[in-house]
Amino acid sequence: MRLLAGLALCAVTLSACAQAPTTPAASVHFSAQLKHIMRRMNTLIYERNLSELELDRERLERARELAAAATALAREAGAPDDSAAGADGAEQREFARFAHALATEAALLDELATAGRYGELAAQMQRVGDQCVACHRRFRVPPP
Amino acid sequence: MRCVSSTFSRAAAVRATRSAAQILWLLLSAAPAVDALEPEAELAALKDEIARLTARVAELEARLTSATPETPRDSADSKPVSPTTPAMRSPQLSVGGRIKLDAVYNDASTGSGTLDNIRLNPGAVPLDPHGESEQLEFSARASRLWLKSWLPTALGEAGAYLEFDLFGDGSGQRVSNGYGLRLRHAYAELGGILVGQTYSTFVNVSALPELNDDGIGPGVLNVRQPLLRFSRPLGAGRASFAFENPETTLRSMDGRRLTPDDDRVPDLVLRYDHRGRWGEASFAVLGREIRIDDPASRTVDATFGGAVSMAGTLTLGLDDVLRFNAVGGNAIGRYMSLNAFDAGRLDATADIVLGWATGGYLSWQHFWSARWRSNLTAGYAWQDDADAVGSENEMLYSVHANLLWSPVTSTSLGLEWIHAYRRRFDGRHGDLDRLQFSAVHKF
Repeated sequence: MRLLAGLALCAVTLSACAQAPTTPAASVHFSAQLKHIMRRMNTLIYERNLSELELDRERLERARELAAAATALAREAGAPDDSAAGADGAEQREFARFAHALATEAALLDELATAGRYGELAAQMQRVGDQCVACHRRFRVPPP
Repeated sequence: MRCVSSTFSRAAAVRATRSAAQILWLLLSAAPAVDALEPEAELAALKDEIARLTARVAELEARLTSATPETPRDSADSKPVSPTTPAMRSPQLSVGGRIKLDAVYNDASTGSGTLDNIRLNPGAVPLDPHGESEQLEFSARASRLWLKSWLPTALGEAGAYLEFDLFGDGSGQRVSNGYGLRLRHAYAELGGILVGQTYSTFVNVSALPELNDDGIGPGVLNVRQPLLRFSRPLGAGRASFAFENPETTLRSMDGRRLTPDDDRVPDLVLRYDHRGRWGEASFAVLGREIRIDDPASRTVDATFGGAVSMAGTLTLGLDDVLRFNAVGGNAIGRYMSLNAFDAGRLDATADIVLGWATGGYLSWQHFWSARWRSNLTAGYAWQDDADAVGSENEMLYSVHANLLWSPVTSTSLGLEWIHAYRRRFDGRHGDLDRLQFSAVHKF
């Protein structure tokens, strides 16, 4: 049950990456994709008919999808001249470092999901979410 | 209660070291960025960042300290071990389940001591004029207990799963309300092979609606049985082929249900699942031999029939999900609507005549917020047989509407209204209105 709660908490935390970003338009696609996957993960929490083994498999598959979307988002955000528009060189470098860190954590999430290490999934999803939150706290401009 | 064995791997230690180095690099490189910004605002941001990084370093140190000394290594040197290395994994054993309380108020009762008063049996909706009215019953029999074991291996994923509920025989409601366990699932799987008892391959479990009701509504496919299943990825989806336990049900000329238990060929199911960002869908084909062999009445006959099913889940935006199933065939029988129809009947010459049946449902799930959601489900099933016995069911439908609240993810409470109707070939019909409150806590 703690795992379920952990995954739910992660979905909430990860929503930071899926909120309407101030990143370039190309990133919006991956942000929307992240949000979409997280909502699908949420519906699994209330699932009543699948067996727990089937649920595990579904969660792993969604985690892989989430890792792929986060990796794509990190790649897009970290691309030169396409991120933190208007920022100076130091800010761009810092932004790129956040993007790199997100990619690293997303790659580890994918490895865990591919290896079927369900027990460690929630913690790693939390780390991916932490990267989203950290970057947004530093760079995201609140919507008007 | 849940006990999960896990090891802290050398890979995690290496990763932690790498992350610590990354954090140091971030700390060292943060200073130049500060110079270019507003001092007060940036100082506050920097403090937040340092606090976060300090916490992260403490977490990594704690994880390094708690690393088990017997952490497996793939060699004597410090080469990182990939998390995908099967050798470093140990089996995980988990125990869990759910506690479910149902409080069901029926406007028409199916009689005392029957499960049909607490879960919908569309083929047994009381006919008019119904005898008993206005009945209330509480039940915790839909509670479940499960055990699972799961391990990735070089041959693929190895899993085992056991699940029970409390719909076994019991002592009744008068004193103790004790009920026996009933097996729901008992299966093992390795790679793409599954052996044991679980949902039939013909059933798309993901497409089943979220209901308080634990019955099987009109148009709903839901059978659990022993089977042998082979699955493998195919194209953008997954293909499955299964041999499943056969069980013939027939209707005699005088209207009795016959379960001859004379089957000799397994039920065969072929299914393809496709998944995309829009949701998932499956197409399944069922083939069955329907057979009876009763020397006493000189009734010996067998015939082949089948059915097709299309089911799926469509994601409509962020807050809506549509689940559906459409099924049709001449040997659906026990697979649909809790066996409201039989696979066939015996005619005047004791030959088996298969009956065509169709059914389906649509279920719309809407999330009002993260904690509140509703499901509106309508199902329908119909049997087409001009020579059917009068006591056979001809048409069934039901509507379910619920409002569910989950104050925490493990717990859901909600109220559901159910309206069900059935009509027999002899023209008799009846309907049922039911209010069902359910509280579910997963553990």
